[in-house]
Amino acid sequence: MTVPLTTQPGFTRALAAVRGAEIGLLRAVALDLVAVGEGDALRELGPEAIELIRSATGPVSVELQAHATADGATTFLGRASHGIAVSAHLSLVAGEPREYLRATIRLVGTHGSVLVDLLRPLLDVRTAAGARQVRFGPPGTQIPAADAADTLSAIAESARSGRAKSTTW
Amino acid sequence: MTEHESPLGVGIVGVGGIALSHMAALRAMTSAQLVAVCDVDAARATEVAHLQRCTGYGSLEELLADDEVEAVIVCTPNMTHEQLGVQVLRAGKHLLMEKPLALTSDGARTVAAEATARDLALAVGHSHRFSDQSLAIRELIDAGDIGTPRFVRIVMNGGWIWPGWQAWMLNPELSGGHSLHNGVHLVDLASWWMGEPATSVFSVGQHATSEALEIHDYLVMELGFASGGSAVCEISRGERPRSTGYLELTVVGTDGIAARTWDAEGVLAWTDAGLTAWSVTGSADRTFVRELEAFVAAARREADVVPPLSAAIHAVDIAVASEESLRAGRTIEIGAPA
Ligand SMILES: NC(=O)c1ccc[n+]([C@@H]2O[C@H](COP(=O)([O-])OP(=O)(O)OC[C@H]3O[C@@H](n4cnc5c(N)ncnc54)[C@H](O)[C@@H]3O)[C@@H](O)[C@H]2O)c1
Repeated sequence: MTVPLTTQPGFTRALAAVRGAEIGLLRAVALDLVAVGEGDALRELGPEAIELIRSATGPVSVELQAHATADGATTFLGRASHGIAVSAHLSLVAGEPREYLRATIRLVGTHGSVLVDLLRPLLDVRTAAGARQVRFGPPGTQIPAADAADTLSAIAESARSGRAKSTTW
Repeated sequence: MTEHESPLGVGIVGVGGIALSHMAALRAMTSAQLVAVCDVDAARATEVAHLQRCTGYGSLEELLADDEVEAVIVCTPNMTHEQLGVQVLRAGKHLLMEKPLALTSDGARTVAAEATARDLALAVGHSHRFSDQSLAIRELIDAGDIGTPRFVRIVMNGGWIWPGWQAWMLNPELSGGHSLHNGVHLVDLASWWMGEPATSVFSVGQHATSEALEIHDYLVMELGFASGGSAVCEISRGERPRSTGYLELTVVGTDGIAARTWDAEGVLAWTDAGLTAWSVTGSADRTFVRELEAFVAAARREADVVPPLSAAIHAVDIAVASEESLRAGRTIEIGAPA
């Protein structure tokens, strides 16, 4: 989990598609991040998740409802500015090595959509000893990190209270 | 068919789009046989009856009076389900009701109570439960391979498939809105895989194709469960290009993930329609046969109905709450299921 997902070349390309209106106007974002690791998923994966979403929607206000399991797996659905539907799921599966099991983002526009597997590009290596995957390619452009603390506490608060919360990212 | 040598006599009410799938399934079965059809469009009933080599009626009363009809599949628009369902059950026939069971929670319970009182099988056509992929996911969960499920994401996004402005699907009074019309399928799968009923719903909808639409052709429902688990159910008929067909089924458990990705069937095609994933013959074909076989087994008292009636009622409760969430813009809590 060392390479930031925001620099993944497929994501960079997808962002260009959003900015260039190749898929029309953005109307939904769906993100799933599941990794092997310990601790609270919102704390571990949340900053990167918000970064990925914010870089697609831009800085917007959002009304969201979150849910969390006792061990910290977190989901939220929100209605962001311009009615953009944003959903995300973040969870950790205990074990080693610490790596992503799934990292996908889907950007839905008025005139098309893009699905990015944030773990690609990769080679599928299958041998008699088993199967493994080897990532390749240079990382894309680094997106400047912004503070996600307020958003993450709004998500945690919504999950705790069972109520929708307003926030910005 | 060990004990029952003769196939179950089935009548179909409403011979429009989905009836074709049921008729095709019946042709592939030996445990049940199509004996009659009826439709308010009597000419259509006659034409279909001729092609299917069965009896055609212009009214439900005539079909119900036919002694050869032991069980009925109701394939009429959603707003007719409650009334026709009660009528079929009162005539002493087993009932496979197309989804949703009814447009309201009370209506769903009224039909269910009628079936229980008369000791008749009442199944609801949550056909997605019977697909190869849905069953495979449930088997993985039951085997404990991914641990305890804590998140389900279901996406069924497509382009426009409905006819003109007068189509009943587009009128929330007649279809119940998109949550009831298609949303119930996703709600049923999510609750089934999670292994518990949902306790809250928060929905976001869009009129993607046209602002003038009264239904949300793009709909995302977030379900909350008592365990803290959750599900995101996304259904669209408003994608561009119109040829869009995107399917994703993901279950995240405490020990891992099972995901049926868009290209899971392994056939990618580049045509004038762009890049598309083609389905493989056989992967969906058995869905309606399985659904009907389960119904026949329930009518014969050899098995319980699938899905359980409580699940079909729950799907209506959640869908009704989802429509309320869309109107009110807030999370709606759901009471205990029936
Ligand atoms: N399980 C699935 O995947 C699935 C898919 C599509 C539709 N459906 C459900 O099936 C039902 C029918 O949908 P459809 O797309 O086939 O609709 P449709 O409009 O194509 O067909 C409905 C038919 O019912 C007839 N009809 C209407 N009122 C009637 C009445 N009172 N008595 C007799 N006939 C009547 C109409 O004339 C028409 O022929 C709906 O409840 C829908 O939600 C389920």
